[in-house]
Amino acid sequence: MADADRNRRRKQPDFLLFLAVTGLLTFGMIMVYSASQYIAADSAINDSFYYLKKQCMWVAIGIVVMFFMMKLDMNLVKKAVWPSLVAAVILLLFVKLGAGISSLGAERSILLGPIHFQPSEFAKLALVLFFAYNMSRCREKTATFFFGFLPLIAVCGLIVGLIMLQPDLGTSVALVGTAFLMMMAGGVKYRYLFAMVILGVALVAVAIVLEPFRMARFTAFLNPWADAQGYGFQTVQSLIAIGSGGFTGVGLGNGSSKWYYLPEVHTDFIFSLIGEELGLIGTIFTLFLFAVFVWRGVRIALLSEDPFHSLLALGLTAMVGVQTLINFFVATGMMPVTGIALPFISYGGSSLIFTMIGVGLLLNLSTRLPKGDIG
Amino acid sequence: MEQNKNSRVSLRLRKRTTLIFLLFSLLFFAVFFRLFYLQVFAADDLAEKGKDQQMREVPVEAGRGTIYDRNGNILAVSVSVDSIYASPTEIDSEEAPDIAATLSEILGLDKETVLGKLTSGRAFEWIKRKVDEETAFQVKNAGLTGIGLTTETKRNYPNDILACHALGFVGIDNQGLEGLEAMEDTTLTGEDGYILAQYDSHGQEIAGSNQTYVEPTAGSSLVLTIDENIQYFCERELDALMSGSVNPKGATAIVMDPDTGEILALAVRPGYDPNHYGDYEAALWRNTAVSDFYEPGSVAKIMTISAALEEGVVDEDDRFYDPGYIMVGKVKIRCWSRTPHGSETFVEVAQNSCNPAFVQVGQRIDASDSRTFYRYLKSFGIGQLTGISLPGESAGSLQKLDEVEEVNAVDVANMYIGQGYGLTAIQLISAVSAAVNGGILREPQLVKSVLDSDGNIMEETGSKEVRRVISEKTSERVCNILENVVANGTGNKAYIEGYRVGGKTGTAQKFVNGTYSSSKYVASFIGAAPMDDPEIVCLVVIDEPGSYPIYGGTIAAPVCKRIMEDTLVYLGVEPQVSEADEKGEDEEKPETVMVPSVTGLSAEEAASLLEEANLKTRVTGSGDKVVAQTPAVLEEVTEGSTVVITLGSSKETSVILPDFTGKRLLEAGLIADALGLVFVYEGSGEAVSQDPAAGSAVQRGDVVTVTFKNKTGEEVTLSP
Repeated sequence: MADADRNRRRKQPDFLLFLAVTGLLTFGMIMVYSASQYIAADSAINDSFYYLKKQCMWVAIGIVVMFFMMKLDMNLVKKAVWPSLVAAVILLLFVKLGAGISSLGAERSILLGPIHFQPSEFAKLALVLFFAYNMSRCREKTATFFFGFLPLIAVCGLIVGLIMLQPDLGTSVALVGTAFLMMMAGGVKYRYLFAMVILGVALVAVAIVLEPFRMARFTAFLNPWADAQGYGFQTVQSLIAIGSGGFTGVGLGNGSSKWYYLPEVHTDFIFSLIGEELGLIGTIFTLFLFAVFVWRGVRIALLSEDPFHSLLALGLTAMVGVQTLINFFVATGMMPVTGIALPFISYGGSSLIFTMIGVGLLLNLSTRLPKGDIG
Repeated sequence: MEQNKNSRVSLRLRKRTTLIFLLFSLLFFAVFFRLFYLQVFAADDLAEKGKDQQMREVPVEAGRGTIYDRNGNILAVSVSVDSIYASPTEIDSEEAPDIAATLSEILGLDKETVLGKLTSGRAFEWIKRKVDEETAFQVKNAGLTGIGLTTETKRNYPNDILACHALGFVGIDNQGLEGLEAMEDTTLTGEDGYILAQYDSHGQEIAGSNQTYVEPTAGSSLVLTIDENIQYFCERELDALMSGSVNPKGATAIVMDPDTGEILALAVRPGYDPNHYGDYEAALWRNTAVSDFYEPGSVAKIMTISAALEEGVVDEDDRFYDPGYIMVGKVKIRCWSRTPHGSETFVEVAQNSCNPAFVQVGQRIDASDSRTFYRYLKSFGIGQLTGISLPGESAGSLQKLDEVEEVNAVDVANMYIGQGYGLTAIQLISAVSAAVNGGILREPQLVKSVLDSDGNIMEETGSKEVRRVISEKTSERVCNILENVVANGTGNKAYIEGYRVGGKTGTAQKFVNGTYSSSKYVASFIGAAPMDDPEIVCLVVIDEPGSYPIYGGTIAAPVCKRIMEDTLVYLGVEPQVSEADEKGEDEEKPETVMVPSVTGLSAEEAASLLEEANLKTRVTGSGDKVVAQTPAVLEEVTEGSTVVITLGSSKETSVILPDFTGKRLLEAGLIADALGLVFVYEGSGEAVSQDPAAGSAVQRGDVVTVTFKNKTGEEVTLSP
């Protein structure tokens, strides 16, 4: 199969997917500049282009990485599954064992030269690879409890547990969501999945009830205006920003939520600024590009003949899609605040590079679709 | 088989992948609808909330207008001062205690209070407003982070207490709170401008954001009708009165130009310093001259005189007879004098301020219509607001006779002699000005003109005629009568050498708790000069004199005289010799003499004694001995004045002396007065001894000497 793979004449990569990604990246750079310009100029950095410059650099690196991943031999990818998983666990442990850099009360990254490297981003990719590999190998056995469900849930539990230790709730939720969708696609029995949902909900409920600050956050989610200066602050500011945009927005660069009203406006809440500056037109446009991404990604999964390819395509699509939806839900007040970036658009190098690795793999898979397919 | 299995797995994978795609679609649509709701339906509401938190209006204070006296002297002016504020968001919580310590030391504030403000987390807190230059300098030099100075304006009254009740004062935000400052607040304030700007969440202004600047409009300045110098004369006299032996509860002096209604001075005591108004009781801020009404008593008889002459019911030479009282229905209205005035002309009625005769005059006015005199009172502005530009003006209290079916004769009889209704000092001076200025009631004016911020006259108030009350001819006759009151009658203490002064005295019992008080009086005098064409009218009202005597003619007339004398000289009014003087004696300067005691003598003996003293004698009553005399013993009168002696049997002349022990000065004086005795006192406090002793028979007109002493540990409330 590896030989067949190598010798096969490959198709052109999925153009619409590529277009959606480049569109999102370009749009992201514009919005990162708009969001960060005031803060960057006002702070000690004193350079309104600071974040834009760095983002451009990461996008450039990301595109190079993407092309590299596009050319990669899939057998090589398969071989890298286990080492990746082991490396991810070690790196996550490494963050906890004193090498982590503390930021906003959490230790999420380690220094890799000048780069803040977030092992959780790497772990996400490693988990997707492992799930796709494992389930495509088990085939029928995936439906069983001991050979199918248990190993998956064990690996997932280990990774999520380590990420929760940082703590990084947003990434954990995205990871669980991605894993859940992959298990669903891979053939895990619905009753296990259902049990998993029930258990998850119960665990979250207990976690909320036991910890007063989580309870307060949850209450603030139900009615953010009641605690607009406290736990409800971010949600309230995000809603104000999105609502202020109205249909056409206040104009690119004219948003006022970036004047420290909206925390993390250039990262986690950049979608709110899009809403403010470009209005409903801007938000629907963003939604549309992501929808194209998900559509093309799922299409690759559906058309792939190799189950590994299919599951990997679905996993990579879900990885981006779930994270995107969580970000949207948080920004529009449909979900409690969990700090998570918007793929392609939010400022941040580590997240972008791993997303671009995923995109590269996805485009790689799109070149391996059967001939009969009509692009 | 293997192939089959594989295809089954593939089929399941495809089915489930499609399901996942549908799930994604569903969630994307959920986001889509949520966005549609937020950005279409809730958009306006959310945008409003956003604006509320970002837009801030910073007021730009408009300069408050200056208040000048009529000659351009500054009475109230706004000066720039520094205020100290903190920006707590810029202050590090670790540094806050040190900053608070330094600030509290320089500003003399409580350290904890300051610290509380510094750590409030707000964007702005006042630390101390309107500090002096020295303090501001110290704070500036301390170089504290998050502490700033800003310029505000503070109202300054350079003459301190002078004209405080006319001027009023402003609060910490320069809002007029009392007096003209309150009444003319809109004129003086101008309109504050503001800067509407956008701010970030840290309280920093957004550079280059949409700013709206609305320029402030500077307030207008006021030029008052008040003359700083005349105001000073009044206040000087009132201060002397307040601290002197009269020791009243309060006093008012007003000087008005009767031809225009302009108020040249308005002084009220006790006063306060508007620069530090907070240090005084709020009751002292009250301008009693416009806010409080009182029963005027005899001064208001000027209106009775005016009405009688205007109605043509009396002539100056008409004779009246005063038996010492008059019966109105079943009520006996007594004269203030214990000795009946007997037969007297109308001019003499005015000179003597004789109550029974005035009631007779009033009855003539009301002969055909019982509301005629009441209408004159209304026409003189009694019972109505004068419209003066001061807050809290009272309309007084005047029974609305045109609303009652039948007029009570006693009620109107009281009105003829200035009782039974209440008026404010400002109403009285306006009414009397009308009586002497040719008959026209004018609105009392305090503001002469309004100046814009460049000093150009924007608006001149001008004299406002309310209505004609009496004819010019009547007014002239009223002037002559009033001149006689000063020259020959009860108002003699207001006589100013060389000037033709007219006036009227008044002493009224205060109506306290539903009855006329026997110890609380209002003594007043209203004077005008020169009487051929009055240029000033001056009213002095003394509220509750604290010691004996309490008569308007004795205590208010001299105050009025001194104010008028200084004012006439200041205004450059040429001295002239009065007609009354020319008629009386050839001598240019009339000498004053002391009235000798003639009580107890026979009519012939009395007449010769008075003749020796260059006084004329008029006899009333019948009997073998003089039982009473007016003026009383030791009164100073002009040579040639008439002394009325009342004859009676010698029996009636003796009185049994009461026990004065334990009485206070005022009370003792009033008792002695009532008995027709000459009251001489020593010391102050409570009466401890008297000569002659209690119980001894003395003659009316005899001298009784009472000695007073302060009880130890008791506060002295009366001074001799």
